[in-house]
Amino acid sequence: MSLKSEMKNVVDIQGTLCLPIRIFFEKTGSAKYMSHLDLMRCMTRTIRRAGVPIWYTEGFNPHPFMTFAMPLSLGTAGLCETMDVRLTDSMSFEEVKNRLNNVLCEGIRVTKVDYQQLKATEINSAEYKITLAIDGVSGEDLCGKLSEYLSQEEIIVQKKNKKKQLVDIDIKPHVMDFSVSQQDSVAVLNIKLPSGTGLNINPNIILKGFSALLGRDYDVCDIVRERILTESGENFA
Amino acid sequence: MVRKDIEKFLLNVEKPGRYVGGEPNSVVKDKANVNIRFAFCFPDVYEIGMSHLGMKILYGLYNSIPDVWCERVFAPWPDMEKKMRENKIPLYGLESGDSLAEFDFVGFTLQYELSYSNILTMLNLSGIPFMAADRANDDPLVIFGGPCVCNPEPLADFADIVSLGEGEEVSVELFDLYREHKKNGFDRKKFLREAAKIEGIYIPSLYDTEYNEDGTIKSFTPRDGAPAVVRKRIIQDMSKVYYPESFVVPIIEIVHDRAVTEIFRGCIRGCRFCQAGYIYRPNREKDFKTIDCQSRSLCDTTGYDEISLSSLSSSDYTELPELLDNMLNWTEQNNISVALPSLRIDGFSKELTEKLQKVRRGGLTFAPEAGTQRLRNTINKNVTEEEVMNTCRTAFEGGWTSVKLYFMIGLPTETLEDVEGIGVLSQKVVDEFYRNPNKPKGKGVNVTSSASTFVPKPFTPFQWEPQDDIETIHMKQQHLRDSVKSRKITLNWHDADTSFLEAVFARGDRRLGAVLVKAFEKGCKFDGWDEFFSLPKWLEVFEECGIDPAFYANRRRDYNEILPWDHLDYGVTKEFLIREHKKALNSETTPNCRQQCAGCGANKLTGGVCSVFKK
Repeated sequence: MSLKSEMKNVVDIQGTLCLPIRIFFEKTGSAKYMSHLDLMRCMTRTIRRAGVPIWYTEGFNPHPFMTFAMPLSLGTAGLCETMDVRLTDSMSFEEVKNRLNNVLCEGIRVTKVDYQQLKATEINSAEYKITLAIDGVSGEDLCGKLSEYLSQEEIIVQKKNKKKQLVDIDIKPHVMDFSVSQQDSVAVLNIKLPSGTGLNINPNIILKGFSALLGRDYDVCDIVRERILTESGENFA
Repeated sequence: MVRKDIEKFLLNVEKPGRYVGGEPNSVVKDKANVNIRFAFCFPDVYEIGMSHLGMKILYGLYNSIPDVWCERVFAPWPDMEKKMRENKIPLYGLESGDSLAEFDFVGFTLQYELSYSNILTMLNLSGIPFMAADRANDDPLVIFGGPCVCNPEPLADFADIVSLGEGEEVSVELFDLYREHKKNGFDRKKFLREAAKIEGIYIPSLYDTEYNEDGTIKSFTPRDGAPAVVRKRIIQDMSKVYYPESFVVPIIEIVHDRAVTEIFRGCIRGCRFCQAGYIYRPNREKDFKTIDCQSRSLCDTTGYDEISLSSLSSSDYTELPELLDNMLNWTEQNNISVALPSLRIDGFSKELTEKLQKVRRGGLTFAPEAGTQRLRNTINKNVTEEEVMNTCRTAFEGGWTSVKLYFMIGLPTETLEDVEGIGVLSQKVVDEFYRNPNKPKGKGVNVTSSASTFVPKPFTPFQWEPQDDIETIHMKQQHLRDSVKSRKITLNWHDADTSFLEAVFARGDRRLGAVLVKAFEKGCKFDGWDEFFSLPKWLEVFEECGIDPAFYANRRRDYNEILPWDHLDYGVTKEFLIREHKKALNSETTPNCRQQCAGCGANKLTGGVCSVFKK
C-alpha cells in the first residue's frame, strides 16, 4: 500500500502528504494509574519505538502530532480509547497495530486501526461498568441502596465548576440510563452519562455522593468505560 | 504486575504509578527457572531512583544472566507506607509483587547519606531484621554498594556484604559463589567468610573495632582470615564492559526522563572538595564508536527523544568532536536532542555551542565553586576569572540570556572576603552581558547563583577538615545576601541543617548504627526532603544515644588518627591526600592528570600504568 493509493483519504499538511488514522486501544490493569499526560508521553515513545512513521509538528521544538478523543481520569479503565495520528508513509493498518502492540506497556493494547470516520465532536455519551463492594455490606444490600439512590427524584452531588469551586448540582436529569445487578458480594452498576465536548459527567462524582450518603469508603471500586457513543447511538469506539 | 491487594487504596495515594510496575522493558521471569533473586533497592522515591544510571546498568546486567532475576524496589512515599502498614502489605519487588523477604539478595545503592534512614524503613517494611547478626540462615543477604560505601561504617551493623567500587564484575563473581554454596547446603557464615576473599567484597562482621578514650578509633582488626585492607574494584576496559541495550521506560514522569550513555569514569581534575573526583579514579574513557552505537540502541529501544552523555566532566572527553559529529548524523534526523551536562567553564567553545544548538537549547550551568582566585586555587578548581568571563561572553554572544553559577560556602580557609567574592563574580557576569553590543533587544540577563554548603568527605584532601558549624554557615549566608545588590542576580542557598547531618554520616563510624535505629523509631525518613527533615528530631536522637554529632562534623582530625575508612583502599593513597591537603592550605594548585601525573596511587588499580597514559 502506498499513500498514493489512498488518495481520497490523504491530506496535505504544510506540504507533507499525510494519511489521518485512528488508533483504537484499551487502557486497563496497571495502565489505569497513568494520567492523561503520562499517556501522551507513553504513546509518543511507543510510536518512536515501533517505528511507525507519523507527522511531527513544525517549528523549533517538533513533537509528534496526536490527539485523544476523551481523556480518562486517573484510575478509570477504558476499552474504547482512541488516538488520532497522521501517517507520513505507507504502512498497513494491521502492521501499525502489530508494531505498536509489540512494544506497548502492560495494560495498553491496540485493538484496531482505521480511518478517522467519525468526528470527536459527535461524541455525546459514554457507558460505564462499575463494580463496587464494601466490607461487611452484602452485595444484595449494596445493590438495593444503590438502586434507591439512583431512583431518587433528584440526586444532589458536588461538582467542580469552571472556576474550580465545588457546587451542588442535581445529576438526576443527566443519568441517561442505568441498571444495577448483584454478583456475589459485589454490586455492578451499568450507567450511561453525558460525555463529549459539551456536557461531561464523570461517574466518580456520583460514586462520591453515594459513598458520602453511606458514610463508608468502597473496598472495591472498579470503573471501566466500555463504550463511547454518538448522539445517534453509534459506537464512536 | 500490579498487586491486587494494593488496588483498593492505590487511588488514595499520590502518584499511584510509582507502585504498579509493568513498564516497557521491565523484566519478568519465571520463578521456576531462577536460582538467584535480587532486589535492587534505591532508598528514595520512584522518580529519583528510576533516574539513577547505576541501577539501569546493574538491572540489565543481572537480568542478562539466565538464572538471575533482578527486580526494582523504591522507598514508598509516606502516604503509601502508611497504607501498606495499615493493610499489612510488605515491601515488594515491582516486577513480581513478591515480598523482599523472599529474595536471595536485597541490595541497596548508597548515593547520599540523607537516604540512610529510608534503608531502615525499607528493611522494616520487608520484615528483615535490621542487624546482620540477627538474621537467620535463610533471610536475604543485605548488600550495600554505591559511592557512599567508601565509608560504610555507619551502616556496618546492617550490612551482610559491602561491595566496593564498580559492580559489573564483582557481583557476577559473588553470584557464582552463592550458586555454589546454595547447591551444597547454604551456610550463611561460611558463605560470608568465602565472599570476603573476593577482591572488592567487604564483610563488616569480620572486623572488630576498638576506640580510644577520646572517641577516636584505636584499632580495627580483621577476623577469620578476612583481609586487613579491602581494595575497590574497577572495570579495566570501558569499551568492553556490559552496557544495557535498553532501559525500563517509566510510565510516570521521572526526574531524568531520558536515555543516558556513559562516556567515561573517573576525572582528571582533582578538585579537592569533590569525592567523586577521587573515589572513581583512574580516569577511563569509552571509545566514541561504542558510545555512538550504545546511544543509538538506547534511543531505538526506549523511544526517548533526548540522550544525555554522562560523566563527571564531559568537556574533558578526548574524542568529543568525533563523538558529536557521529551522533548528530542520526539524532538530528530523528528529532533527538543531545545533552552534554557537567561542562567545565574552560571547556565551553563556540563550536561546541553551535553543535549542541543544532537540536535544542538547554540551560547553561557553570561551577566556579568559589568566589575568589585564592580560594579556587585552594580547592584546585583551576579556573580563572578570565575563563569565567570568556565563557559567559561566548554564551551571551550565542544568544543565551541566563546563566546558572554554582558555588560552595564553608570551604576550608574561607574568609568573608571569599564569600563576598561570590556576589562580586556574579555581578561581573551581569556586567559582561551588557557589554555585548549584539545583545538581544528588550531582554535582560538573569544570573542565578547557588551556594551549597561544603561537606568534607572521605578520600578527599579535605577529609581531615572540620565543617563550619551551623551558626557560622548562617552568618556567611547572611553576609552573601547582603553583598548581592542587583536584581539581575537570583541567589539560592542550601539549608545548612541537612548539610550538617550529611557531614556526620559521611565521616561517621560504627557507633552511628544505633543512632540510625533510634532515628527510624522516632520516624525520621526522607531526610533529603525539606517536608520531612527535622534537625531537632535528629539532635534528640543523638542526645539519647549519648553521641555528639559535632565530633564527626566539626572536628579537625590529625593526620595520624585512624579514620573509619582506613581499611578500605580506593586507589588514592593517604600520602597523596596529605600532600594535596598541605598544598591546599598554601593555595597551591595541582595540574590535571593529563598535564602531569600527581602520583595519586590509583595506577595500581590498572596494573601500574595509569589508564590516562595508556593510549
